Amino acid sequence: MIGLASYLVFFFSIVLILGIVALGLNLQWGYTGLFNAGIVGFYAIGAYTHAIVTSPAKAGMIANLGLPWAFGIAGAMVTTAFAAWLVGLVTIRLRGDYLAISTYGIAVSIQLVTLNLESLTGGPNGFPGIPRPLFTTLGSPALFNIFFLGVLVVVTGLVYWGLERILRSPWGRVLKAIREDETAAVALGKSALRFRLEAFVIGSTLMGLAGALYASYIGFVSPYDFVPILTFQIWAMVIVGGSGNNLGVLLGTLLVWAIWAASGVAVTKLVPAAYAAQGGALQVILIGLVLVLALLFRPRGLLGEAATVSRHAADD
Amino acid sequence: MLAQSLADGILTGAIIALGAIGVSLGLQILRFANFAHAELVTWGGYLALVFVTFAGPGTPTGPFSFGWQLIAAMLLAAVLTGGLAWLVDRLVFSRLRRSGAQPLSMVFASFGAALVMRHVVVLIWGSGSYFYTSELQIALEVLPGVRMLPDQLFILGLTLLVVTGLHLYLTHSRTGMAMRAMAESPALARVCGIEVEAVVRWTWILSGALAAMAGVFMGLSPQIHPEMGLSLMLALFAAAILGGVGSLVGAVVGGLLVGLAENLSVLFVDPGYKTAMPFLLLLLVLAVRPQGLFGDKA
Amino acid sequence: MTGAVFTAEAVVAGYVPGLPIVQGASVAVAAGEIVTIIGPNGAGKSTFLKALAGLVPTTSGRVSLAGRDVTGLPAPELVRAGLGFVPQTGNVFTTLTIHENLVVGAHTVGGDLGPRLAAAYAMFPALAAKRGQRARVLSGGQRQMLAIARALMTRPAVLMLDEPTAGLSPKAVNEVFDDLRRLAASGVAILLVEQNAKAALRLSDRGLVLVEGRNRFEGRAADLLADPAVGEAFLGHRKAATPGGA
Repeated sequence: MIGLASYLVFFFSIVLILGIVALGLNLQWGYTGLFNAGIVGFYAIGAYTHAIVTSPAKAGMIANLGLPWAFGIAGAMVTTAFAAWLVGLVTIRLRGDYLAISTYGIAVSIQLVTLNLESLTGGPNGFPGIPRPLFTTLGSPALFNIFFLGVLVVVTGLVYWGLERILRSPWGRVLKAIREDETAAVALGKSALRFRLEAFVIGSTLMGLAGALYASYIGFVSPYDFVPILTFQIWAMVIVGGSGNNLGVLLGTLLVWAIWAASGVAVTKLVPAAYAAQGGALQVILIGLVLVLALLFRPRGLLGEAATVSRHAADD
Repeated sequence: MLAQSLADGILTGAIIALGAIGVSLGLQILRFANFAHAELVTWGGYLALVFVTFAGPGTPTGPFSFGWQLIAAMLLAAVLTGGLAWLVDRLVFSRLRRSGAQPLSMVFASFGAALVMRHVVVLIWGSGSYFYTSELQIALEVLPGVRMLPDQLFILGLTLLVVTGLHLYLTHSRTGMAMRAMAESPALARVCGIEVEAVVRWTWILSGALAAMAGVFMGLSPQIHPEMGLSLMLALFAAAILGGVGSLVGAVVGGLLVGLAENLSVLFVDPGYKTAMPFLLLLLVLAVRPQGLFGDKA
Repeated sequence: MTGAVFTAEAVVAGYVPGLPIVQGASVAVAAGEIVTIIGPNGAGKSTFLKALAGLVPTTSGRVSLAGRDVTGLPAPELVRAGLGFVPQTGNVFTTLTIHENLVVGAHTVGGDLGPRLAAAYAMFPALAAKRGQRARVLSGGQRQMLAIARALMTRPAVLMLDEPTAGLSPKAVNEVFDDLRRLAASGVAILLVEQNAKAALRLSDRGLVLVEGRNRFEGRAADLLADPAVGEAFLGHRKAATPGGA
């Protein structure tokens, strides 16, 4: 019973962290039509920045700052925002699929940096010993996990609330106008680009925030936490939940992560250890199928777009 | 050292070019960035492996490590991979086209298709590597200070042949002209009585076959593994966009430039960053000349 | 009308289902005849032609070509049935050579294209001189020639042109009109949409005024030119028309 309860605490914590990433993507894709195929890159920047800012100085590591948790979170968001801004400056004016290629390339490059720049990132062995907030004060891992779940509920709730507010503001309405109406986008000209860039930076910043939360929750990050499959899981969450609907996206996160976790359990239970690679492949195939099938049979997601009459509706 | 890197770059570039032609045709005729294209390279490599497993790579002929069987395997893999590309189109992309989905939905679906295709390879053949042949070869000194394996020279020669043939096909055959016409304007192509779906199908088959050849060439130099296509993906896009989308010559030149950039970068930066080079080149092109070197449209 | 090689009756068509732009338009063209469709901006003239060419969905009506019912056929089928179409913009492949444009124009035709190519170059000598060059080097008037030559490669029974003189110099306009006259004389049925309404009507046998997607006036071109109601509303005539005024 305790085992199940602590597993559920862990499961929901990961869902909430990934939910923030999915909300960030929803701002970019669902509300602005920007194709970010490098989610995992921004998530990694947030995680590693947080690790570097908060971890105590250590031999062989050149940049560890040993600052408090909040500084790590803020630093992660600022660094990710800056990286997204740089990427956006070059790519945001490109046609959509070029943006996809570029952002995918960014994620690959960032993973190479985490692998190769050992004095900063720890390299392939990972970055251990990231301080976990109040871990020693709370005394037990179980207590920490429950405490952190509470933190995540609050942070994810704040992110959700904040997004809903800005999307209902004039800024959010302009975003939708740009996505829905080519003429409006052209009429806005340069400022349409500015709105798109802003949405891209804010969305990526949320991914960075989620990365920082992940790092401080687990206390360890390695390049293998930031493989491309995560990007596609997040995409599946947004597509399944219904892009353009924040509540749907959170639901999609829960559903897709549950499928992933359950298929992982099934694979370890059913597939002999000698075929572990095949078992892992089955799990990924499942995610790929979810993506393709959702696009083919449920293009508007489980909940569909929230309260808006979309021109795309007529195409269905 | 420099000369050898150049030679290695040209070899990598030839393989990239074969894949990039398909990406370029896709961007132009199918009108979306197909992230599943690189998986066709992997499938080509493995489908040839099936034949090689049954028939063997053949008795080494001349200086090469293989006999006619491997060439037959490559042709068979080209046909089957072309068919696979067409099948994926039928199952996924043609449905999306018919439902009037926007191009970015196609990009998405291509990511999903890529995940499935790549991991079905793992499911069937496992995650390890395979060699077509265990023959050892002696490198020839083709130029002072430049050594290449006979198999590598074979790859270069055959690539040149295929690309020349394709160029003649696109410029002189009726279907080739229809493909180029559709690349420029699908609307006008329809006015001319061209069946869009027929051209699309043929484009898939052709790009699949070329990708399969790239896959077999990768297998000859020296092995195949499930992530071989994935490792090539950014290079393929970089080459296609660098050369100028829709231009065959562009895709080939782009492929060579990307191959050279990858191999020459090793002289200056940590080899760990080699796979990021095509991408940096791509960013540079997008910033300076988004239509590419041989591109028509601004 | 009897003897028409191409007839369209009560055609309803539009891009979005439920929002027809063409709302029951009809037209008929006989072999060797030139018919011009005029009308105010937004009347649905271009959409009507595109619907007839199979490029815009037709929801009701009946279209027949050379005695065959071709209603709702897709564009390639219509080309095979004998219909040629010259769109207003983007009507040549600029990245293809002139020769390749003509070959692509004959996509539905099998066998040796030699005689057809020779006929095209004989009709448009200016194109023959540049046959190996990309179409992007052509002037506006030459592009229009190429677009017409391309559409003629299938030897269509009816040729439809969407504003073939838009943006051309007065000299090039005359050349295009001369070409159309020659074509009609050779027996092709010609249907065109024109902004340059008066000049087009002078060239035409009959005319049709399309307003809000429906036929408003139709008749002999000369009668339409003389009709004060048509002149005032659609040909830019003042109420008290200046005698002989253009």
